[in-house]
Amino acid sequence: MKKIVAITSCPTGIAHTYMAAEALQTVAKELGYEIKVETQGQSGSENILTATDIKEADAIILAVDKGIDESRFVGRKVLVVGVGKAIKETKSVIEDALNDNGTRLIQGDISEIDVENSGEGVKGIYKHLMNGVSYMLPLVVAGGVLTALSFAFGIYAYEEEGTLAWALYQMGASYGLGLMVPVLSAFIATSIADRPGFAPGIIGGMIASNIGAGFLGGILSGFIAGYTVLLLNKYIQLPKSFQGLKPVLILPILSTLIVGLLMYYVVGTPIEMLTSAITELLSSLTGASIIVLGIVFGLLYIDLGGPFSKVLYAFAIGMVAEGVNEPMAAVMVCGMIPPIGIAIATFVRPKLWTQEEREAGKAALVLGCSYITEGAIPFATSDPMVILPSTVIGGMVGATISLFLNVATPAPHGGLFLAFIPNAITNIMGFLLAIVAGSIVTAILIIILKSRKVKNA
Amino acid sequence: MELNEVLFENGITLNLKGENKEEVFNELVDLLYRNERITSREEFLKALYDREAEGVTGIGNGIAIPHGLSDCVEKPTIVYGFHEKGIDYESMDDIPVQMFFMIAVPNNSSKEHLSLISKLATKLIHEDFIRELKEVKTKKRILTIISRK
Repeated sequence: MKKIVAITSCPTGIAHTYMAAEALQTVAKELGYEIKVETQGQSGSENILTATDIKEADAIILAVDKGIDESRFVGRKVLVVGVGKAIKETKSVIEDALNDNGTRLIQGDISEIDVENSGEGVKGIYKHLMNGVSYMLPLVVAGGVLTALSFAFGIYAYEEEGTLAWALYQMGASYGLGLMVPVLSAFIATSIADRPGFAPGIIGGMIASNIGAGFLGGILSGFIAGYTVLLLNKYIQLPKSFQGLKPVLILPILSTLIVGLLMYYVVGTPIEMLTSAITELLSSLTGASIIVLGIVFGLLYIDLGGPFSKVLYAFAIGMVAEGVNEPMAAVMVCGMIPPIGIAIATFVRPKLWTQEEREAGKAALVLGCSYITEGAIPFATSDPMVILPSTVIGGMVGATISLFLNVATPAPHGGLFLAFIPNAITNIMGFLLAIVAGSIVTAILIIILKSRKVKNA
Repeated sequence: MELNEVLFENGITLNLKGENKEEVFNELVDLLYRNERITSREEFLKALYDREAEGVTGIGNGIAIPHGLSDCVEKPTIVYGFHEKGIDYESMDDIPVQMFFMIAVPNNSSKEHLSLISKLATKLIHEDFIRELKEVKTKKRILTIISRK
């Protein structure tokens, strides 16, 4: 049996979109063809055509009165007609499409489409991640830079409530950076499941943030939320008279419940166990060689401020309390290197990055210098396989140098701002050296890995 | 959300008097306004004509579905009007339009509202349905036919 796929879409997306879909379905069935019609209306896209649908189709009809994204059809012949024609002259539209009468070849980059043919595969996941990143990025920039500005008043200035430094820190660190993970999670989920994904996505992200699961936890909660909604939507079938309850009541409550419980008990519990294991490991390391410590510090910073980094940070603060200030400096070096290294990579090889990333690179430099590791997160989210190994190795190098040169500080934050405070850092040249060396290593690794990837693509 | 909240007896007139498209539009917009479904006649008329400018909403077989998306709409609503003689509407098939479904939708409507309306719209391409609708003489009967699956 011949298979037809179609998309219908009209300017307001209220009536004609659906009438054309109905007409195509009715007539195709009468003629004995199999058909699937995606409607792009006011309430979003429904009955979305998958890569497989398109691949198997003998004819593709776009009954549209407005521009739509045709990238899914690259390399295929499609018949583009007005919505009205599809409603009125349905039969001839279908026949024209099947007989290649008046069809048009969609031009474009085929290789890109081949990846997409793996359906909801790598490309799909990447698309969802990027959607999250694009919403998160402004939060990171605004939040990070405002936090850095607050440090410019003195690194403890924010502690006094009511001052400008306090206000800057509140909007920057507490809200801007605090909302980062929930927003990332929410818009990953929205990309997967449309608007119904938002509530479980943002709540899941908030939980990820609160259980200290960091941005990796936020990515996880976003994907869990998105796919939970998709599954629930597919498998919950209600009698017609109750159908209205599904989107307003059942989906939000059930999906949030599932995501929340998973986040607390399935994701949260192991994280708690891991953190206590790492804490123990760290305290057993006293007396280990500097290189081992450097490597462990670098490794633990793999999550860029997530649960592992937090354990490390807490350990360093504990050591400060005991009068040992070297670990704190090494941890700070580890946290400053990722954004600075990424920033350098964007400056040195701008061609490897998108316009948006190049701009974000400048902000990342400011954030890195202020020990706001979050500046690296948008980059790490969009391309973890390139960024994370590079930042880890750069961090190892930086931490080892810092420890080796006996750099020390009792201050738990501040970054380069500490340089302006007398005696805040012991061996300030060593501190700078460690940061610069680690950042350059990170930048070089990123450039190598990324150019290789670009070449292979 | 039920269909009867979108389309109801007071929103039906079987006796449209207008001589042309513009007059019929005014009558139907009045109907929306009297039922407190829109807050401004002018604004909604503008939305209707904006939509018409993008493509005529006469879908053939004597049916037109003028529709507008506007902030002045209080609730998603369909009003129905029947014109005994029929009006020239520049439809796709040049048959004078007798049956008008005027659809008013607020920006950011919920999915259920929209799907109620789109479900009604899909019925309009079935000729049996239209034939039946044309014969009907009472508002009650119209509601019955439309809410039937």
